[in-house]
Amino acid sequence: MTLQAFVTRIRAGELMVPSSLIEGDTYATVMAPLTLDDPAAVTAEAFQHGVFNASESWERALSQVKAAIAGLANTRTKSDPRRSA
Amino acid sequence: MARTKDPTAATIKSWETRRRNQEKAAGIRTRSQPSGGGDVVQQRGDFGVATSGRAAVAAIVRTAGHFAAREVVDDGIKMLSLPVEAVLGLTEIRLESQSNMTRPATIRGGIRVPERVALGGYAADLMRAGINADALIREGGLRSKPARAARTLSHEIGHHAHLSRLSDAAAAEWASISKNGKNCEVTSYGMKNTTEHFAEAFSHYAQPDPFLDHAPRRAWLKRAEPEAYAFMERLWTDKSMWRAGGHAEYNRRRRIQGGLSG
Repeated sequence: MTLQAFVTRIRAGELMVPSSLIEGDTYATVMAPLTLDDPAAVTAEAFQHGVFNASESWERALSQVKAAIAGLANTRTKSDPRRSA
Repeated sequence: MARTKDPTAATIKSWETRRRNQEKAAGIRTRSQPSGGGDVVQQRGDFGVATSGRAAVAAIVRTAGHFAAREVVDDGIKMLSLPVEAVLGLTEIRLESQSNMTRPATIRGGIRVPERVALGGYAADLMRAGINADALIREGGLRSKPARAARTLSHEIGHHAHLSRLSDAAAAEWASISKNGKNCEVTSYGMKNTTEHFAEAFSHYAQPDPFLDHAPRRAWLKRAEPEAYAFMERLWTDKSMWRAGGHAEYNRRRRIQGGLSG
């Protein structure tokens, strides 16, 4: 999967990843959609999903992710609700 | 009068025989227990003789009727490398139904919190872990199920290791390595806080072998977080990293629960 396709899937809310739910002394693992709010989290998951090779440096991968997210923010698709607003 | 064979006892006996053969093949040794009825898994829960973390985990998994999930979990256990110190004190790992692992939708602070289905959980006050058995059987391909079981199991055991078993010095050292999850690079889950970071790093180190087309998670931890990797390496080899009295604490809790005689 390309990085572009990866962030597009995240924006569509299609990528579910484990997340935490803490209630008192209980720690639960729930599945939640990954968002584009945290580029570091997206970078970590991109490595996990094989978007980047393991040999890629973290800093370079992070900068590519930031660029991809910025690029996505500038594009509007037909399904984007802001388009008709 | 013709003697009627108890089908439940027969099922448990055949399951136990198959399991013993699997354990033998995997090099896992647990004390043999009488079969033929009752809560077999509860009887198997004495891991005072366990020689490895894997054997200890196998001994405290309770099926609660989820025999198919038990098969998947057993395959997942074989994929793990665990120090027995990490498991001591953990009272049980229960294979729960989906309904028991679901938090219903609520309104909190005027905001609707949707229904959340947990894959696994760890109750620190009870030192007990739970795995969503229904999700484990239903989701994922046949070949990927054991890997998912291994990941969930090792994550929840990681919570136990961190919150109940680490020595104070080791816990403080981890806190400085993690910086509340800010230094996590291995998964987005681990970035939440120190506790989740530990569980994720622990889970990665506990999976040393490659699975399907994925590189070993342990190798990925080494590449992504060398400092966390070095910490985990010491956990696996240095007993001084752990809180003392693990066996005694375990046996005390078992006696309180009535699960251990003497």
